[in-house]
Amino acid sequence: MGTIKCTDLCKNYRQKKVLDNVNLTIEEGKIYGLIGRNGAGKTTLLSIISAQNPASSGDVTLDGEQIWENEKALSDIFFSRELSANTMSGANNLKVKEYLRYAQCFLKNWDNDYANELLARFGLDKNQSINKLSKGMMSMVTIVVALASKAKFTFLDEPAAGLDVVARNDFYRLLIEEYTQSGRTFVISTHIIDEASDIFEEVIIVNNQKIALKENTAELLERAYHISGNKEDVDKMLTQNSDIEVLDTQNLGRSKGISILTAKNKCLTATEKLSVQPMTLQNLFVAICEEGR
Amino acid sequence: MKNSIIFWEKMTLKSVLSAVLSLIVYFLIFNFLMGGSVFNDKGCMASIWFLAVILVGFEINRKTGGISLAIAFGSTRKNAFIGYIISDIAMIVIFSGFQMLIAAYTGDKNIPVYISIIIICAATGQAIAGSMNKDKYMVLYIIVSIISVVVAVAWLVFNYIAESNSLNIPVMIFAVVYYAWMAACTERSTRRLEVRV
Repeated sequence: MGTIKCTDLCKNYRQKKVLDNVNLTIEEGKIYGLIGRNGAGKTTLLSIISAQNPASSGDVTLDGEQIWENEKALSDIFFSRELSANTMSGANNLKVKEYLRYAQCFLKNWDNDYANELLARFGLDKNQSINKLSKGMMSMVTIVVALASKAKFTFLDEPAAGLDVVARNDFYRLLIEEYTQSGRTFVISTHIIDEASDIFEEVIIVNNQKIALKENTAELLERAYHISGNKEDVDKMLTQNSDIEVLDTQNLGRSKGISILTAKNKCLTATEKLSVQPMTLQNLFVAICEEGR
Repeated sequence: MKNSIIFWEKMTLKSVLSAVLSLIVYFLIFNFLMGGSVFNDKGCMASIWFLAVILVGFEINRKTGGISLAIAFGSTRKNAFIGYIISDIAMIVIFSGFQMLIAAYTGDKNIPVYISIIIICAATGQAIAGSMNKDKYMVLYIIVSIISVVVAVAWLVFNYIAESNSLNIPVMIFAVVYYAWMAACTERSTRRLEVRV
């Protein structure tokens, strides 16, 4: 089993700290969802793990071997970056078919037939320049390259950005198909959280330059609740359950609402005085971000 | 390493083809304007050649984006740089070959200086790419780009207007030192390159 391990990873852009002592383990054979606010450091984290950017300090290893300038390790990792029409050089000057041809040069497990099949499925014109594509079509190109790369560890940066709902569904279906067949590891950063949460086996939340949480998605959602009721009743419940972690509190007159995480395997049920609702991943993420403010 | 070379072969081929095509178009236009006597006019041939080397610089500059692309596709920085330098030198050799062909027609004896100016243009291409990084060396790269163009133009003026060869040796020395320096700068920046695709 391959494992990518980040140890005490820090990244500064001049005076600005983007990642602060990040420790993270990515195991083979899982789909991870990487979520965080804009500028939280998701892309930076993925680019450092794939050795596209140097870290200010800390280590990234694959099965104990440093990834930086390590040809063998890098051949198993592929980060399909979000394409932008604003960059001056690189992929932007290329046609779709050229971009795929260059990808083929470097990616040892590249599946050309699969890439062509995906292009046809997304209705992409191979002869079109990347800088002439719409935002959604650029996302499709990054998805095609990521899936056809057949890399053991594949990272996708905002693959659903700009995609319409039909294309997004298509992407999720393709991802599940590929994952089922190959058992590859995918790390997907996204802002469309609830829609994608069903496919994430584990979720990684980046907040305030750190990993705020990394956990199995189903287990996490089992212990995430929103409790509301009379202020005194909510406070009483909190004193009775000292192992509850309160993420966010909203006061409205005499009523109080709290977003919480219970201890593992602990279930909360509604009472006459308290409403207990399970939380969606998106609401949980918002609560964690509110807590960190 | 092998993958990196294949990648650069493809990039270089495209750059060379587009530059050669432009060179032919320039030649035909100049030949038409000169009433078919372009080969007999050294100044005219020099102008065509000068436009061609500007293209070399432009294509090499455009190609430096390929370093970023190669790393994004999983190449190590070392391999991306070595592949880049090999393709850079291959372009210089190809254009020097063209220059020798032109010189064979015109009987020009300035081939080493022509090649030196092709090398200067290749280094300038790298300098322009460096200036696009918007880092603290941006101004330095812009200044050296301007200096190199001034050197090339000064040589043309000396050679064809003043009919003096006194700048030949300084230009050749400048080309070698300048290219080596730019290559070292590119290697250094590749080592710490933050990929933007």
